[in-house]
Amino acid sequence: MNLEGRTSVLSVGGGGFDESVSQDDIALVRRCQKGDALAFEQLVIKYRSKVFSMIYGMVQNEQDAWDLAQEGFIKAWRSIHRFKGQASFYTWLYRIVTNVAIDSLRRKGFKKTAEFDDDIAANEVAPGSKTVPTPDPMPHHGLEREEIRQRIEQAISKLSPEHRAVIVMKEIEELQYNEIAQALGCSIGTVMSRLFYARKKLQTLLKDVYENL
Amino acid sequence: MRTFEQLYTAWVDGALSKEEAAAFEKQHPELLNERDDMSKLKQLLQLNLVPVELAHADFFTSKLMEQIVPAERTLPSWLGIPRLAWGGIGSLAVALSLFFLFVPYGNISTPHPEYVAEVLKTTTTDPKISATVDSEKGITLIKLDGVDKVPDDEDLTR
Repeated sequence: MNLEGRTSVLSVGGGGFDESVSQDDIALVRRCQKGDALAFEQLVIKYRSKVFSMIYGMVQNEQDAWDLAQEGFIKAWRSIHRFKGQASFYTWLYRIVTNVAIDSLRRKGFKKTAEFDDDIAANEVAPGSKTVPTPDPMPHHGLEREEIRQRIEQAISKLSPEHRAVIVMKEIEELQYNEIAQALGCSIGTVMSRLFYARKKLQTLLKDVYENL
Repeated sequence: MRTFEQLYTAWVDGALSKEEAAAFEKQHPELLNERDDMSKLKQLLQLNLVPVELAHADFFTSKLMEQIVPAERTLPSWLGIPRLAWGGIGSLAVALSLFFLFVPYGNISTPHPEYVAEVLKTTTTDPKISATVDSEKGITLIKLDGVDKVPDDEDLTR
């Protein structure tokens, strides 16, 4: 299975990293590395919305997302001299802000559960396993959009920070496996495993929602 | 070798080739309904988790730049830590150069007492008087012959 070779097919219509603009970014980064804060401001303007949206998807709170986006950009500025251009600036920035968001979620005391944890449960899910509906299903029809949104946010909040990150990057940002792997600093296989467990958990938590739409 | 989880994810996302997908489905026929289920889940997430707009984006940027630029202003880029260090080393070198240039070199240690006696002249106007100089063991002895005896009543204390 050659997933790397197929990523271009998957990226159609997606919001993945655009390598064509990275040359402009490199020029701005070089100026930043010489202490030019105005060049950094241009990079902030360019990526602030994407960064904020990604963090919001993970923390589900506007104020927290704002603060963490600020923190992420400041960290990026302080460590910009370490950027060597091996990946695109956006990939590099994404990695910083994702780590900021994951660290924040951990600080806030996310309790890791054994269920669907890819570190623990690897190879323990039977191929034909069925997801179990939530213990207290709400099989009502015509759920309001806001209510659906709240249900989704509640479900996502039950994922581990790492699983939230892959769901947000894959389903909202529409990044490819290799881009997610770069952003999270892990292998493509790990990304796919995390997606599997994250989706399984969401399937369990949201089954009544998507079946009653 | 891909794990089941990785194959499943690729299968759900349509990232397997036709042959790979067919082989996977043949191996796991019980999963055929699952793909439909997963598609609904993905659709639900994508429809409801649309990217959130950053409100007051310019304010966001200005607040961020306030945290970056003041730090730069308090310490200009040419006054970074490496430059300060090199500046200190340079100043020290200049100070040492001036010291060795203007302070006498070689006699810096505490001077010890050293008395030097020099005989400038041993001739006298009176030819009857002769002077001899004898210098031994660090003592210089000047001996005068032919000098008149000092009268007893001469007050030598004056």
